[in-house]
Formats: sequence, structure tokens, C-alpha cells
Amino acid sequence: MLTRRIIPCLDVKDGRVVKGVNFAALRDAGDPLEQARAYGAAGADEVCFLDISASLEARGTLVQLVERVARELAIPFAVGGGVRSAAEAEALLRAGADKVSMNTAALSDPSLITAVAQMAGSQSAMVAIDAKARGPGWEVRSHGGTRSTGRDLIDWLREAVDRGAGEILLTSIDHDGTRRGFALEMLRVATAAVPVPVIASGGAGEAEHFAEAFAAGAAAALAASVFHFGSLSIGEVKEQCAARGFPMRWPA
Amino acid sequence: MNVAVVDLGLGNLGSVLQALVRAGADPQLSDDPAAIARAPRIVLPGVAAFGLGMERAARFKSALQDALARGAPVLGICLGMQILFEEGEEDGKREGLGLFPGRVTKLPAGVAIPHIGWQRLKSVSESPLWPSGWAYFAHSYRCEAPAEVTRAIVEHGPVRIAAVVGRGTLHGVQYHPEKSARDGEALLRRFLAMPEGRR
Repeated sequence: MLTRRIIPCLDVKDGRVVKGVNFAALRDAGDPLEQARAYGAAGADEVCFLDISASLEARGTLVQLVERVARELAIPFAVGGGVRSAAEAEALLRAGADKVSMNTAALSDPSLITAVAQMAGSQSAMVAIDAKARGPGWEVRSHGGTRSTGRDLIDWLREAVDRGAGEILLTSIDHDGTRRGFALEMLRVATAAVPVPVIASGGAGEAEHFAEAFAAGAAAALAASVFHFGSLSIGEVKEQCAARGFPMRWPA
Repeated sequence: MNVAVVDLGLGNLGSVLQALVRAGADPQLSDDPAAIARAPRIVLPGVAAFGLGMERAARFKSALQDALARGAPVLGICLGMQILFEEGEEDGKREGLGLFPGRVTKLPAGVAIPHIGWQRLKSVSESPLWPSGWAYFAHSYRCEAPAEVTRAIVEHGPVRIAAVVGRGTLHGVQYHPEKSARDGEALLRRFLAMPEGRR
């Protein structure tokens, strides 16, 4: 049986980590590679880099960073944040990213998903979706959650998968940053709607929350601040989830 | 150079090369069939899809056969393993290299597809690679390998996936040892410790 995955997310700006874990052993806490390695050693199953740089120059820096990470990191990693075109996705995949995550650009041009899936296989084409509760169901939002798209979550999920998405990173805007747990009802509905793995994101505060996300059908759960600020360790989360009966890669 | 990595022009070549370096090897990327035919050991890394992989790999078929005839160890990784089989159904029916018997088919409906994540390998018959421990998978197709070449498996729901295959000095791994942390590196080290092919 596949183990459920724990994925720390690193925000990167101009090639440097913005929020990072305070591992005492790190020589350079701003170096994304050192951060990723530390998470790998701590038992992370995968790492996600989210580029929050605005400038085009920074995109070149990102490709160089991906090359460095691919050479040194012995676990898989995804890269996302502002991927606008198939050419950009290709540059990141060629540099060695295992997966490229697409969000706003895929909403405005869904053929981007197909292009990436054909180029690298569905397993490398990740679609990130930011969703917010509305009336019945959830609405998809774009541009980092700031803009309404009018699209229904389940409708967009199915389209993304039909177009070749091999994995979905699903963030609840309502839960993000609250530390009150993942959006379980949304996860239940989303994971039942598509056959591809869904990664839960937004709301992690305690180890128990990860087990709840897995019980709701998530294949993996992603978190940033609880790991960065040291309120939870990956080992602690994995032990708790294993105790609840979810297979974990632990000890890693 | 103690291992040649076949350059199919796509895929995660950098990660495979660097994982081989971490495992103590001195790898060389090559797209020259003559050099590959003479190489001490050979790694065939994965690329995007079966059809494209075969388009790029077809011209290396006789080089790989020559290398195997000299007793050189050959390791196919992920799609690099799949194209060692007879036929694939991704992008329509495509002929493979035919070095292993069997077809490559889409994972059946009803299980999570793609099969992405970590599983513990289950050894089913002896292999000099001694496959064990944690393996990272990311694929939608599987090799329907006959029992006589299947060395380790994983179970994805009710579906049995051939994780490691081997016959003589030809080996294939469906997972990514270059992404499988310590256990992946250990497998690469065992591959690199196999005796070189005769000159």
C-alpha cells in the first residue's frame, strides 16, 4: 500500500527562502537546498518549492536553483508559483524538477496542462487549486486566491484531470493560516471526484490534523508554517498518523 | 568512467547522473551507440512516454544487446525499464526493445492513477540488486512481467506492480532509486558493485 505523504512547502523569493525552518545545524538558513535537505533528513517524503518572486529575472534564478536542488536532493520535489507557459514548465522540468505545479495560468489556458503532461507524463503535471466555500460547494479562485473565477471546484478538478493533471494540490483559502485543521468536507468531495492523488493544503496546526486529512481521502498533506516555526516535527506527525493506522514511510 | 548513462535527450538525466555520483560512480552521459556497446555498465534513465522513449531508444538496441552479450550490467529506470519490454500501449501500440518478455499496460481503473508515492519493496525472488526498503514511484503504466523475471513487487490496492525485474545482467526498476533517499542509493551502489562487462 502507498504510504501517505507529508510535504513541507518552502516559499522562495529571488532564489532565497522567505519562511524557513530554524534547524540549528543550518549554515545558511536562507538557502532553499539546505532547507530541503534538512527536511529530507527529518523524514519529509517530498518537498514543494513555491516561488513568490515577481520579476522575470527571478525566474532565471529559479531554474538555476532547481538545477542545484535536482543534483543534491535524494527525494522528489515539486516547483510552482507563477508558471505561465509550457516553455517555463519545460525549463523547470529539464532543470530536474520532478513535478511542475500550475495554477492561474492553467485556469486561463487549460491546454497548458495537456502540454506539460505530454512533455513529461501526467505524474509531472500537478495542478494547484485554491478554493473557497460558497453557497453549496466551493469556488475556484485565481491569482493567489485574490480573484474570483466563478468556476465550481469539482467541475475544474474534473477538467484538469481530463486534460492530463496527474496530481492535485488543493488549498482551502478559508482554512489557510488558521491552524484549525484541513478543510475535510472539501477533501472528501474532491478525492471522491477524481482518481488522481489529492494533496491537502491549508489549515495544518496539529499532528492530528494530518490524520484527519488522510481519513478524508488525501494522499498527501502539505504544510508550511507549522514546520517552519518548529511547532511540529515531521517525525511527530508521522508517528501520530501511523498510530491512527495510516501507512507512513517511518522511520524514513 | 565506470558507467554510461544513455542520453535519450529527455527526462531527469541530471538527477540520475548526480545520484550515481553520490553512490560513488564516475558516470558519463553518452548518445553514441558504439561507446555504449563497449561500456563497463549502462544505465537507461526514464523519459516522458513510451512512444517518445522508443523513438529515441531504438537506435541503441543492438548496442545494448552487444553490451549484454559481454556480460555488462544494464539498469533501466522507470520508463527506461518499460521500454526494455516487448510492447507498450501508451500513445497507441508501440514496439519496445524486446529484451524482457511482456507488455506495458495502463494501470487498471479503480486504483489511484498515477501511482505516486512511497512503498516498501517486497522481494519475490533472488536478485543481485537485493531490492529492499523504501521506493518512490511515479507512473501510470506497469510492466506485465512474467514471474521468472520479477524480482520485487509492490501492491497498489489489488494491483500487483513489478517493481524490480532482472534476467542475467539485465535489470529494471519501475521506481526512482535516484529519488528514493538512502535505500535508493544503496540499490545503485549494489548495481555499481556488479562486475564490469568483458572487454
